Amino acid sequence: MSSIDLVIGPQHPALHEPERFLFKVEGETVIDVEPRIGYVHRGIEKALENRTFVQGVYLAERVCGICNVAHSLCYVQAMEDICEVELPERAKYLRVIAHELNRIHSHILLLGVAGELLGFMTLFMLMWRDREDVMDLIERLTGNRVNSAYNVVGGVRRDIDSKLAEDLRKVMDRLYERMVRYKKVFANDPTVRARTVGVGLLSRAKAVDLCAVGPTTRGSGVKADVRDYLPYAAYEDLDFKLVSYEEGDVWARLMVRVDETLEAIELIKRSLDKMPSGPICIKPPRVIPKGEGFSVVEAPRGDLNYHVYGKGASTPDRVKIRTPTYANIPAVCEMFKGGYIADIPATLVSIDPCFACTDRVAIINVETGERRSLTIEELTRRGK
Amino acid sequence: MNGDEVVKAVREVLGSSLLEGVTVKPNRVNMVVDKGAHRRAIEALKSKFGEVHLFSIVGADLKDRLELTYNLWLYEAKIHVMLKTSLPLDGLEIETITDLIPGSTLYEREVYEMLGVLFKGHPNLKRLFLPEDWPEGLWPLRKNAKLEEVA
Amino acid sequence: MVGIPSMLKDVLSNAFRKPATIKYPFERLQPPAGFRGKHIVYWDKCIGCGVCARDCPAFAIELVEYKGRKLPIIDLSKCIFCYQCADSCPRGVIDMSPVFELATWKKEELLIKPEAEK
Repeated sequence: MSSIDLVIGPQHPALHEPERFLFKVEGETVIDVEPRIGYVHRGIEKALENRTFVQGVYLAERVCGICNVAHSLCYVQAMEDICEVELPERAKYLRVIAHELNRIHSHILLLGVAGELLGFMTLFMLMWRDREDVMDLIERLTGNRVNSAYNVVGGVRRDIDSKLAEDLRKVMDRLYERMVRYKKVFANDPTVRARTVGVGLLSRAKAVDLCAVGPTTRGSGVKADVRDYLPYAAYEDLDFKLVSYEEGDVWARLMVRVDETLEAIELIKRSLDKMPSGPICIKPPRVIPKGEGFSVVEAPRGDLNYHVYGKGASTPDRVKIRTPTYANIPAVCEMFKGGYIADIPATLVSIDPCFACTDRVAIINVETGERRSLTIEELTRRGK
Repeated sequence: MNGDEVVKAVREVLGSSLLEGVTVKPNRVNMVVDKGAHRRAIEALKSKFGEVHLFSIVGADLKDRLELTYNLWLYEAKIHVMLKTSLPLDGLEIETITDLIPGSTLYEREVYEMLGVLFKGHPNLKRLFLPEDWPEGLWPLRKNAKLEEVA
Repeated sequence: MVGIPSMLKDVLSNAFRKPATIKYPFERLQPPAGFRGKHIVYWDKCIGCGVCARDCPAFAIELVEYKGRKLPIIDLSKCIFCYQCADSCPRGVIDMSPVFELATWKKEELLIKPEAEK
């Protein structure tokens, strides 16, 4: 049987950022895939070399809108690694609260979009309505829904007063009950299970070899979470429990995120209980000394690391950012092979969240030169 | 397990090719190796310390040389190894590690594309992020890159 | 067919809830306290040190001469509303307000200048 080349992207419903995948397809089965990325490359690493580190935090946080707290936290920690400053205790707990709120909203976003791609519109709408409560809390804590601008070198910028702490607890309690209901849906609903169990398999050995990160590896049985093996901020004192599943398919990866949301709610409540009083920020040095700093944090999609070279001036010499989605691309290419075309959206959404963009997929029959377009509804309905 | 044991284990394999091995923090080790010895160092770490996770491959143009850093995490030992090797600016070639760690394919492609380092033996050394009409030979992250002609 | 009744309860209770839509611009939500909207500048307190312009990530603040003093002009078309200027200022000259409806027809109206206040 001859193989057909199937191009998906750069505008595609199940993609986090515009990427192009070139699939080699025989019948309905995918044999090989080649990714092509770089559509949102903005030259941020080069631009950070011209910004002082006070200015650079705001540029670093705009690498990704959904996990902006993780990016600014990682950059700030890399600077603190070079300067070796000692943070006040209250700042560490406040950083944990912002970080976990960020994780909750990111996971609910992904789970809703996964529901939408699987055709379960009700779940999508109801989950995003609950997400609005979290976004309101983030707006009260940091001043903005996205681009929180919360972390600075030496601490955080704003404090929590008692009214906000009380509202945080109330909303977290309500959200916990809602998430327990959603967990039952993901675990038991026959529609969701039919589309996700056994789809997009990634074995444990392959996950380690391909250096996959985040819920992608934790869904394949690898017990790797930065908050567990290299704790930062206040995670050592917060009794953190790692979440992992053994099955290695799309279902396992979605369940990892559901459980992590529940764990994040618990972490926020524990931080509010344990947070000491005190200053929230110390005065940082104005000049980055000569040296190197490395910092790794657990962003919602996996481990994110920044490597910074300081040169004794107020601007850094070189900043290297390795984002988690970038690390998962070889793993997702491995997951596509051997699956059906109709499983492509579900597999893609299981490694990182997606924004529903346009809805056209073109199939080119190489021999006859004929082109056919499929809408996303046809794509998700075919084959299952 | 602490950092000094990791340095000792690598020194047994590499001998004098390990130029420097220092434990800078309780869980971080800096190692500087000779050009071409990085493969043997990574093989030694894999065989003695179990599973290895590659955080990133960082290339930095330090004006007189180009420094490549392999950030590795040893799962069982819980040690972060910063493996550094220097390349002269007129001889930017090094062997690939994609057969040892398959997850490094995209990282090496990025270092090639941004700094012009050739990875010998890489299965698919092509451009990754930059558009197709970017001029050849212009490596954006070099300090002497003239980016005004593209802007 | 086992899982469908579990979501059915949510769907039915949702049918009797108040709709979540807020009919902007007829109904307006007040942003919370601490929302990062348009800047309020207390021109009398400014000492002309220039730290706000130095620390702005978007290079949106410029110091100009005005009646013998150096005062900042904030260009809202470049501003990213991070309020690092307010944090860096040693005298507390810049403050935030909940004004977020900033669209105008003319670009000159997006500059926060001393003359407009005096």
